Amino acid sequence: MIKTDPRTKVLLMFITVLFSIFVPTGTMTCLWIGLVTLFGILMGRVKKTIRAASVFAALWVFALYVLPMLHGTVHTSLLVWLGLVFKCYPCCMLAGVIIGTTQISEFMAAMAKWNVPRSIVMPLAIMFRYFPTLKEDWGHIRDAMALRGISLSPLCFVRNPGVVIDALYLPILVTASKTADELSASAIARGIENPNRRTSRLDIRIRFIDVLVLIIFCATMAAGMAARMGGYAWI
Amino acid sequence: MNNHKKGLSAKDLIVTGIFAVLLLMAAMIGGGPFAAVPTLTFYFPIGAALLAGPIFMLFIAKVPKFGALAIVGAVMCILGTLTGMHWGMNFGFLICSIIASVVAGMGKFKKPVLNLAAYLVYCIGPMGTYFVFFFNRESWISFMLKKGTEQEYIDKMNETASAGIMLIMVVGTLIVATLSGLLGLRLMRKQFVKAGIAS
Repeated sequence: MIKTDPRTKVLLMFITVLFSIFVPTGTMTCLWIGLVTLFGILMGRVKKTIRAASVFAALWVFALYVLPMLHGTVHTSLLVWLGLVFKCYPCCMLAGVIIGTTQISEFMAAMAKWNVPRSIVMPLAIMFRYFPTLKEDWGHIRDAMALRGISLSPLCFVRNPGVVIDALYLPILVTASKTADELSASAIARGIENPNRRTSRLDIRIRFIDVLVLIIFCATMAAGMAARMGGYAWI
Repeated sequence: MNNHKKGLSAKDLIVTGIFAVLLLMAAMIGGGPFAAVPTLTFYFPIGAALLAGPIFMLFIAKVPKFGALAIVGAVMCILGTLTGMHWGMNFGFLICSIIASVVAGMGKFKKPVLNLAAYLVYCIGPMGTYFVFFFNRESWISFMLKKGTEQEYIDKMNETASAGIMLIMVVGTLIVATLSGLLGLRLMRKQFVKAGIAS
């Protein structure tokens, strides 16, 4: 199990984005997913990483063996959909690993070291932490409303749109806005409005392992680019 | 708390973060199904405009300051770039958010008509990529191919793309955005103000 600097993770994210812009070929995508899987497991996020990797593998096998058997519109739309999924998968998977393994305080401390303006860092940090909360809140509201027989299904919506809006859409807005108030109260109580430079007890530095991870990812990227330039079509 | 201070306080930034999530989710749930199908992809802005109206209204009521919407635009722009979206959409979002912020700001974020207009401007943002498509088709195609979008998808888009579709996209988005925005204003008046969430 390893631990890396949040700044390394941000750099990895950028490398992966560059990768999916410049090297969007099949074999390289598989290799890249392999790298991300390894990274995720080493970061201590074993179960979810393996699950994501197996979903990718299943889709890949589907694209290789089942897709050629289909024809017509189904073929086209599935091909397009899979193409988009394969394009975004490395980025999204790495983002999942990064978000799952980074503490919010670590992230903010690292960004403070890079002198990123607070008005960008704070909303981003809040966003990453709020996604799971939103999912949880939504689950609670949906369960409660299922008791009253209200759901988001089109049938229910057509029958009485007003009730669906009032019973599902409003509560999520109200909880979100309450969460915002509570979060800011707690953050202000802990002194987030201090205009001075942020300090932290966390020991955040670029270590040997960070350099190693970055070198591995960069080398893979460079190899992919080189193979593409060199005209090896099979890669 | 000092609400008359010029810049954004920590509280404003946190509210901004949370509403950015909500706006993003609304765009994904409303527009996601459209974006993946080539014949429907031009209607993505319509779907994206469907759900976000009330969120937008509540947001500008909670943070009535110039910078807030611009930050939402910037955050969306960063996330879009990270997930490999087209730059037309990302910068469309950023620019339209800033314009929307100015429009709503003309009425000090209190005038319903101007807020509605701001929401319309905001909804035009995701169209950026399609405008690029119409005005500069060659570069768009080469860019998307380089980014790994399948050739067939682009062919299908070429087939379906015509001036008529463009008109439907713009007008449809504006109509849906108006409805969504009006719903938002109604919810503001009937629910949020009474509940004391926004004033």
